[in-house]
Amino acid sequence: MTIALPLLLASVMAVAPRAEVSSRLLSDGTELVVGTERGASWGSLRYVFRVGGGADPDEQAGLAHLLEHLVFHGSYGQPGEAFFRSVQSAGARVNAHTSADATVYELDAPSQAFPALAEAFLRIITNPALGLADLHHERGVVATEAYYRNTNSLWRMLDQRLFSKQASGEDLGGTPLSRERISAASLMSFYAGHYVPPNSTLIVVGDMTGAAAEALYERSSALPPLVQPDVEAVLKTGHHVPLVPLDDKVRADIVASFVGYHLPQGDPRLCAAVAQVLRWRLHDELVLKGGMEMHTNARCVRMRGELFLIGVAASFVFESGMVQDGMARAFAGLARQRMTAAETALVERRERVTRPRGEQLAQVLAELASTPRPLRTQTDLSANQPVKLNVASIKAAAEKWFVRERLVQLHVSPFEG
Amino acid sequence: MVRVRAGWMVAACLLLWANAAWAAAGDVRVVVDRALNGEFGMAVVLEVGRYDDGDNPGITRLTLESLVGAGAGGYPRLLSDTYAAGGELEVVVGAQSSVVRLHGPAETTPGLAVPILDRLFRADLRAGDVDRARERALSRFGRDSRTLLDLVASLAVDDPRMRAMRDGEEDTMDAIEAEAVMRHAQKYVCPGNTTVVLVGEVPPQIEAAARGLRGGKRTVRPSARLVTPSTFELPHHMELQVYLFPVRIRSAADLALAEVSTALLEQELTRVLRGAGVAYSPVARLLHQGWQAFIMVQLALLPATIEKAEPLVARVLKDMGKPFPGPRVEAAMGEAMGERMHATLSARSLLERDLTHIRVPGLAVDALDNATRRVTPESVASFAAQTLAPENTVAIHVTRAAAWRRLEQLVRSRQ
Repeated sequence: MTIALPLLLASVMAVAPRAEVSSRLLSDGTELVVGTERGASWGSLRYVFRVGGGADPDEQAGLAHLLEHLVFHGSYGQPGEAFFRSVQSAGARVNAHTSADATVYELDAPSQAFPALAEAFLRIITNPALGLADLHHERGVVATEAYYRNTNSLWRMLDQRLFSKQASGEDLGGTPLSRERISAASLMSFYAGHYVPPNSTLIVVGDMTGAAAEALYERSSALPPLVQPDVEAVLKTGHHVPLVPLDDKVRADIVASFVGYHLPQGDPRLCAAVAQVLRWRLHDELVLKGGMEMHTNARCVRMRGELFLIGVAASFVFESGMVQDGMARAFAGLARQRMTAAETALVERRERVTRPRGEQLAQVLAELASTPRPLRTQTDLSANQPVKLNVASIKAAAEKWFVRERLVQLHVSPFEG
Repeated sequence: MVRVRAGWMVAACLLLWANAAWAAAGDVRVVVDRALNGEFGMAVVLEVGRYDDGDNPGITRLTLESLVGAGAGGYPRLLSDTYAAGGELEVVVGAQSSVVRLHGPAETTPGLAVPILDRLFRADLRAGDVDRARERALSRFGRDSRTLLDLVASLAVDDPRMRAMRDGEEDTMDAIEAEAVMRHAQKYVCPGNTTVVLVGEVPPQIEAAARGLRGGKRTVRPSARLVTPSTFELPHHMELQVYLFPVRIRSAADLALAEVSTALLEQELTRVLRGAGVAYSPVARLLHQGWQAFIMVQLALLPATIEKAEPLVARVLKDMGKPFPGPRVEAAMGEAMGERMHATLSARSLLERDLTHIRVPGLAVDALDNATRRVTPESVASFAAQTLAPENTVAIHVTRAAAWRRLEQLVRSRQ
């Protein structure tokens, strides 16, 4: 007992670990990003392939998403069902998401079980038995998902309004007809062309060093180590131009407003700083002064490679006119009013204490790694670093960026559209 | 200095072993789940809800909003402090219980816990506090009534008072007198009627402050039961098939068996329905609403596949009554324990759950894990045969069709 006491105390007195994030390019071209959190009780893996619905072949919309589903059917040596059982037994979770730009595979597991599950997951992703997968039934699963997801994902709605002229990415889930056109051969061809090391980033966050993560990848990956000469040509996707200014309304069963700006030349670090301040101003304007019960946020996001600063307000009540006015005031205020010292302190404090870790950190890194870019370039991790607020530069950026030609407005409610 | 430190060490270690310790009548109940996860969470669970509103629909919501908004700087100060701390605060009023939830970074959020407890239990509530809270209370009703189980409670419960529950509206809210709010607060919002759940990195002084709360009585109500079997159609913007199976949970063994069976049921539904290509992500969850515990099955189905899916679901429910191979049950046991560990490691997910675990007195996570290890294929089969039987089922079809019919009726009634 006397020996156990200090150990118990240590666990009480310690604070949760913060990650040290590093990235490197492995010899086969894969980017490895590791967030080492000493003593973390949970491990997270994100395997990002920078290809998504935006690269679906003509008339086969939904292919990238269907492929993501079929990968979970397992590899030749490991049936998907057996893998799921081991995940469930360990109390872990797996999932995957397909956006226009990227497909991201996710694993979150208790530290003890993480290495073995991560290894099995990497084997499945890098060597899926696509020829044996049950394509017919998975089309039904995807159809159900598309039905529920397309009416509920706010960011997907915004993506589809901003890039609606990009035919191939118009509907990431596809239609019944487009999914029927997808064959096993086209899936395998898509996989072989896009699931290649230089087009991927493996992210590991948890109690694992960079060297251990690299060894894990070397043991498990079955992706072809050499890039074929024509891969770069295959991976060149068309340049997507957003439809701005955008002022649109969509009917859906939620009430939400997006207001933001396209920043074609914007500095991501400065954008992150402006977003910090905007988060506070939206909260202040709508929740504190407006007295409205709602969720507000502001983010710098990349959609199809393009940078946007977007404010969002989602509500359970129908006060859309007041919401839009309040959001407009918050944006305009950034250009008109300098931040006070008290505001600066408040925003900096919040940003400092809410810096992501664990699963959240893995998610943030995956978003950064999903940005389309030339092969063999590393993820810009600087957007994940703390930003020192500079009052003058934030005001100057707001004056320069918030112009009518780049405005993005989308209002979602049961009474719109 | 050394003596203080040693004393704190002993106190800290004792607190570690004091998980889910229960206090005497009149005292607050405190449940602590510590985890080194960088987060702090507090859920103040009050045994009062819309059931207790009586002739003043909305009075529970108004009371809680008044209390939270009272005190130095009022509601704006509390919200600003919460924002600066990187935390989130919400008040949810349920059928028979309500929760004030706070969560955020462990570095800053604990500093808000005691001020919130102070506001709830020690505020010198005034008429002005009530008046300032009226508009805010009104704007929050929409959130409370969205709970599916609340809707079910209004339809399928054998207690007429529960079926008659309703939200406040602008005129009824205006009619609620400040004195009535003060009486409501005095009667129901008291430590003796409260469980405080603390999770994540919990400073000892916060736990000590919670444990020091005393006074008032626990609400005693007649037990309400779901009427089974029954079938309902609920209007909504989505198509969902929902099944509820009432369960009785009185001990760690009951809870462990229910959790493992629920995990196995979800695995089976996923295997069978996804294998047939008719569902996306079937869900089976154990929920406890204070007045009743359920296993809830929720299926997102395309309208065109409902007919194909129904016999498959019936087969899965029936087959659950036969013993599964040991490894399948072990996987479900692992999932139940893993889910528990995940909930503990992530303060947020524990607080967002329905707080099932606090409904079982004297329960600690260790006791539950031990009980989970004792679950056998036979005990799951026996439990499932009774619980998932057709005569123990409430089936709810949540459908757009009913929503359209209701809209049509509304339009006709106005013509």
